[in-house]
Amino acid sequence: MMGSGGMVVLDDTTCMVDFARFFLTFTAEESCGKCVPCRVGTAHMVDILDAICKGEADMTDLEKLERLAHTVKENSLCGLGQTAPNPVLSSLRYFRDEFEEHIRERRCRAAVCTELVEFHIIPGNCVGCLRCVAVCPTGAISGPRAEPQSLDASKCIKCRSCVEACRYNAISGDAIVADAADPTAAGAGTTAATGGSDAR
Amino acid sequence: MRAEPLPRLDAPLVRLTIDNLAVAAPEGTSVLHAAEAAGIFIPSLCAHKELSPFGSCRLCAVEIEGMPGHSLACSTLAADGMRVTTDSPALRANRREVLELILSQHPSSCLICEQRSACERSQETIHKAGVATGCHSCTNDGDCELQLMVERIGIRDIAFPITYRALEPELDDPFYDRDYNLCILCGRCVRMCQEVRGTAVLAFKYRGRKTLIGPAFGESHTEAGCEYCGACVTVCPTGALSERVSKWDGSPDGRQTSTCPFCSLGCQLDVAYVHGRLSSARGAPDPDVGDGQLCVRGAFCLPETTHHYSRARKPMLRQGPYFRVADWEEALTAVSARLREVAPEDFLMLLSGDLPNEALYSAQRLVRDGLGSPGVDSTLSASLPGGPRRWMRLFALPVSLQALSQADAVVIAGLDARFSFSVVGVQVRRALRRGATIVTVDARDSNLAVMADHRLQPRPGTEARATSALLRAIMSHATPDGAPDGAPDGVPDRRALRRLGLGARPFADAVNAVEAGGSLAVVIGPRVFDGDGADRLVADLERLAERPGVTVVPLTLGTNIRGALELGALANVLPGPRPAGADVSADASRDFGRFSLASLDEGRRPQVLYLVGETPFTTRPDADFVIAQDLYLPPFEVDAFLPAASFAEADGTLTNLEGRVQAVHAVESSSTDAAASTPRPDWQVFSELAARLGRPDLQYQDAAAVRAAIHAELPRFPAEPDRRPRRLAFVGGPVGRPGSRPAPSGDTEAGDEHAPAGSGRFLLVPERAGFRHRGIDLAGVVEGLGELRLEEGLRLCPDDMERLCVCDGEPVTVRVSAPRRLTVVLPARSDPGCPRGAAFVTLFDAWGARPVDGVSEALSRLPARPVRVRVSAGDRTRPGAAPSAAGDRTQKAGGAAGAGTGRDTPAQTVSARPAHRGHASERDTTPGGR
Amino acid sequence: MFPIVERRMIVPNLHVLTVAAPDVVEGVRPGNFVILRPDEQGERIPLTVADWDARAGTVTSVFMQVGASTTKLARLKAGDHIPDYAGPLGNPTEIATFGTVLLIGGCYGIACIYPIARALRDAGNRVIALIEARSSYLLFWEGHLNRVVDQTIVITRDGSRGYKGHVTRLAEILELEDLRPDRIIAYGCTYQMFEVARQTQPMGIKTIVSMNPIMIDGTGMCGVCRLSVDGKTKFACVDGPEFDAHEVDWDEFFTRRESYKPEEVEPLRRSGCGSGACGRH
Repeated sequence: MMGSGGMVVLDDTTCMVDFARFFLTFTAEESCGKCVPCRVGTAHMVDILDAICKGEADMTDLEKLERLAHTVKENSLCGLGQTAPNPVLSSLRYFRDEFEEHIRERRCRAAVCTELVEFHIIPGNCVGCLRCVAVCPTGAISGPRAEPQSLDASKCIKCRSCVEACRYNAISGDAIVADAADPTAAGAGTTAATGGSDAR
Repeated sequence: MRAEPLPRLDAPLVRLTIDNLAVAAPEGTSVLHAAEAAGIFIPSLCAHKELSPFGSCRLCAVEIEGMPGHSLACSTLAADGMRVTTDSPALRANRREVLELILSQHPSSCLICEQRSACERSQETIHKAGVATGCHSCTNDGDCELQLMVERIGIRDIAFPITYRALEPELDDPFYDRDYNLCILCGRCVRMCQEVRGTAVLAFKYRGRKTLIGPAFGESHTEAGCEYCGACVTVCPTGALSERVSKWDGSPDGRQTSTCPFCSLGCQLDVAYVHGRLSSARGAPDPDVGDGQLCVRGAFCLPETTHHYSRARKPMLRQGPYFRVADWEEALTAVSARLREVAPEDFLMLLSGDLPNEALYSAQRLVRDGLGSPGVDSTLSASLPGGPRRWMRLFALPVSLQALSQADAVVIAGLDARFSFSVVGVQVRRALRRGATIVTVDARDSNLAVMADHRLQPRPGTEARATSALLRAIMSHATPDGAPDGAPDGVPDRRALRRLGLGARPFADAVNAVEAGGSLAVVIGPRVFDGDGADRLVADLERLAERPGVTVVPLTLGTNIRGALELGALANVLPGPRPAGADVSADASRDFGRFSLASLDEGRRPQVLYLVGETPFTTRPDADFVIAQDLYLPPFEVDAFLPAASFAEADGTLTNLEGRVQAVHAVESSSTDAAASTPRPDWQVFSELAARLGRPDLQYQDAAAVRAAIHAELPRFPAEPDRRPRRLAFVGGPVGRPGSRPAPSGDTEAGDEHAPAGSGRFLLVPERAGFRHRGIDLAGVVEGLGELRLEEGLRLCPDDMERLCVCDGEPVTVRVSAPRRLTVVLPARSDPGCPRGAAFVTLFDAWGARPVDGVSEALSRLPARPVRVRVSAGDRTRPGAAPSAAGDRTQKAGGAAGAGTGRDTPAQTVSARPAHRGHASERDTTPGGR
Repeated sequence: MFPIVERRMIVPNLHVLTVAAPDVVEGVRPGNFVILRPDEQGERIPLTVADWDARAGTVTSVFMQVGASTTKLARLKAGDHIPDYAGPLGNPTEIATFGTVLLIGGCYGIACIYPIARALRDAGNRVIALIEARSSYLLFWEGHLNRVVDQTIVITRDGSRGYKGHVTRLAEILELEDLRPDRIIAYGCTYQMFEVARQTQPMGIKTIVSMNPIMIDGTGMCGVCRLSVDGKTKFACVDGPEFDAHEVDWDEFFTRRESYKPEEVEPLRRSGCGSGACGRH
């Protein structure tokens, strides 16, 4: 699924959930649509992974994801469906804790899943070079030159352009650091459902 | 498109074990079908016994020893020694999961609702909703394969979110509605359309979760070539496809096998009834005739034909200026009184060719025996192209639809099987799948021509001569020792071929493609028999049929022609059939009997005229007392009306073109109670008239009694419905060459130089109206046919329309000079299948349920053969329009008003399959006229 | 002739219909209904009033497309006219300060409880709305309702939103939400109201339902809309349409509503609207 005989090297700035989602989205898109497990199964799997990445899933969704992955794998008509769940299954095997972290703590340790990430500036590292200000598409970062900048989270679209632009990672960490959101903070992600318990 | 070859019928058995049960099945059977035959249930939604395995639903997964994982029962062939397990906890869990996935794409809330039975019990009324959002508002409720699977597999809950596609239901095409929100993408409709019907209207569009079903490239169903055969609606497991007329009737109370009454093929129907009333029909499995397939008439036209609101169900009598309802007693008394008084030579009964055998026989006996009058005839005398005698000869040939589907080579002349005789098209495609060579001879593009290996396209009106030439060439080339067959004219020369509009090379290729020694089927469409040279063609067919392995399928309009001929329901023809007098000429003889259909044309006047199931007149025919016995009132005044039972209301038999005597079973009861004023079977009316005429020997208890009487007189006619084919044997035997039949004056020799279309001169090719039943034009009572407008207007090819500068629906003026002078104004209709330089128009001869407009009436007086005409854009009959040629006596025929001027509702272009999608062959001859 | 201001399908099979009818607006109150005819040959249809605009002089209702007459209605659009629009009919909902009122709306009932909720809240009640549908794609007007109620509880059959199941879980839901309503008013299909009545009987909570029998004249003359309440014959049009749910004879009511099952199918056999409006054959 990742190419024939290819090797991809990743570091800790890759979220494994997002990674699995990326490949599954591709295969779900390319599914021909003939057989039920691939056409419908991968679609539901993508929806579950989307929910996990948004911090909207619960542990039953993870069980469902795994079960679906096996169903799709064992019942699909052709090789696409039979191998599409592999990235998900192997990610679950080796990086299950990342999945669970997304669900239980609503935390993306690689700071990739946008709904689970808030960016802020480490004042101690920021020298006020304004490189980030230049690249920010929404003007979320502001401040006087040569002084630590401030980031307005309400304008931030989590595009990470500032992180890429910042040079000051030689000094004990980045000046602009993407940090996983406080899991106890409310309001991250979508608004609460209208009343009642979310019984599934 | 060639699908997989069909399985052999004589395959050896394989033995396998399914769930520890020993099962034997013919080689080539799938594990699924083998299990079904042994009574073992394996769930499936996309499998269907008539269709190739598809493997999309995955429900039929089973465990087969030695094969890894699951195997699909539908696409695994049963093999010797195989051990199959269909039920285990793992398989069950798997099935549930897969079915839940399927249900998550369908409005499934009702399916798994534990309140469903309570809710349904209290559901006051059927929710005839715009879109189905649950079983309660779905047309399939109670009759749904999804519901069945949910029950059998046992689903309590759906673990996945249910998504609703929110598509607009497709309601714009005739006959059936489509709501693809309910579609589970099993693909049955696609495969049915592609493999069995061969029309490939439906396909899978897009991919992944966006997959949908429909015609490609955004075409409408009509544009894509849909035959409206109803096969997709029948196989759909959900309510996604539903027939409009019957969709809200609910699940049927029962089904009854019957025979379709609309044409001479006699396809077997499975008729559903609800509350004692016909609801809908679909094809009954039947390898002999239709093989479960139908055409638009049998599939969709039955309910409206029998239940239209203008159906007349009570007897009526004229009393002074009033035409009032009477009861049967009074009506029969009045009619029988007249019959008693009238002199035998002043009486004429006209019978429809669509009547069942019992009606035909009892009618002619009542007249000939009961009244002692020779005055009984059928409208078939006029409508059978070439006359009854020709058709006796044709039905004496070997006619077999089965043989057609198994032939090595098939020649098809002048037949577009899209909307008429579609089942012949299905059989041709089966032959194709078995590897047959297909040769078509047709001036038009047709849905069969597009799949032909060899297409001969002669000039319009010359198909009979071209087919004759082809057959003669085949015969002379096909003798074992290569010597000519002794026919005076063997292969036609180049010049003769060119006069027909054919090239020598393609012709020779077609002849050579028909293998010597192989079996041959020749299908001749109705239009061909009206053309010049048809008599000769019949003689050629007779000669051809002397060889082994030949079958002929002669097609013309009329349901029970075989029955009418055999039972002597025509003037000059007595039961047998045998000739009434010494003269065996093809025409309705004017020597025998004073009255017949032909004699009416000559202006002779009967005192009493009794019309049974036919209305070949637009105004009241000239007679003292006119009796009409039919389903609908005729469009003119009559003196007595007797309501006849329809197809759904009376038992009876119809004889199809192969001679099979097939049963029609009533699904609605018609009362025999003397007091009740409901329609009665025709034979029963005749029986009761006979009683009143003091002829108890001509009374019958029931339909079986009539058949017994027939059998007594004609031992060859079975006493009970008998579906074995029988060739017609008539006294007089096949004749070598018929006497020459003089062509009507002014006839066009189709071989004449035919002026290019640019100047507005065209060859007008009239075709007889094909959508009729017992004297009514079906388009008048069936909404969908009215929408299709298959027989309206002047049909021209798009190039010619462009040259004339007319758009679809705009009026054109047609000037006919021979055989009679006529000027009519018609809307032009684009018809891509039409060859250039030709214009097709429909001749109506049944005026029931059809508004009589001057144009149709004027045209109907034309003979059914091509004539040269002049076509000009616009309505030239209005004052101030272009002056007509000096000396013309133009008959203005209702041009300015009524149907002539263009319609303002958008026209749907209905045509044969466009050529670009067909089988392209550079060897084909160029069409005539270029 | 009454001009249509809007006719739009908001969720599958459910349409909102706004008609300009100043005379009707004048006296309308929550719980009233109107009777309209889609065309001159059409059938009289009663629809509960869902909202109105006194200044604009328009009245809004919601209808479900479930048969020939509603199909005709569903084909009309803004700018078309309907021949008749009579109202306000029936007795309005009793509005007083009850305490906590639970309004249950199922399918089209979701719209019907809106004006009642508004009036009850204005009267000082604590208003809770419980809206029910088969699936989340069939829910509508939640925003509307949220503005006039104190709390909205959602229940869908398949659990796509809110609670999973339906009104048979009422007792359980009241427990889970810690609600003890003083009055319950239910609007929805007959089966749903019947279930509500059944559930609330042992609870001893006063439950009002809006009965929906077959109706013709709507003014008390023809008797078609009769039902039995506490053993006495009442007419839904002039004695109701709201009645005490525990006093209604539900069996008789269900039976009477089935009266025209086969006849209702007949006009739908053809695809046209039957009135010449759509231009079909």
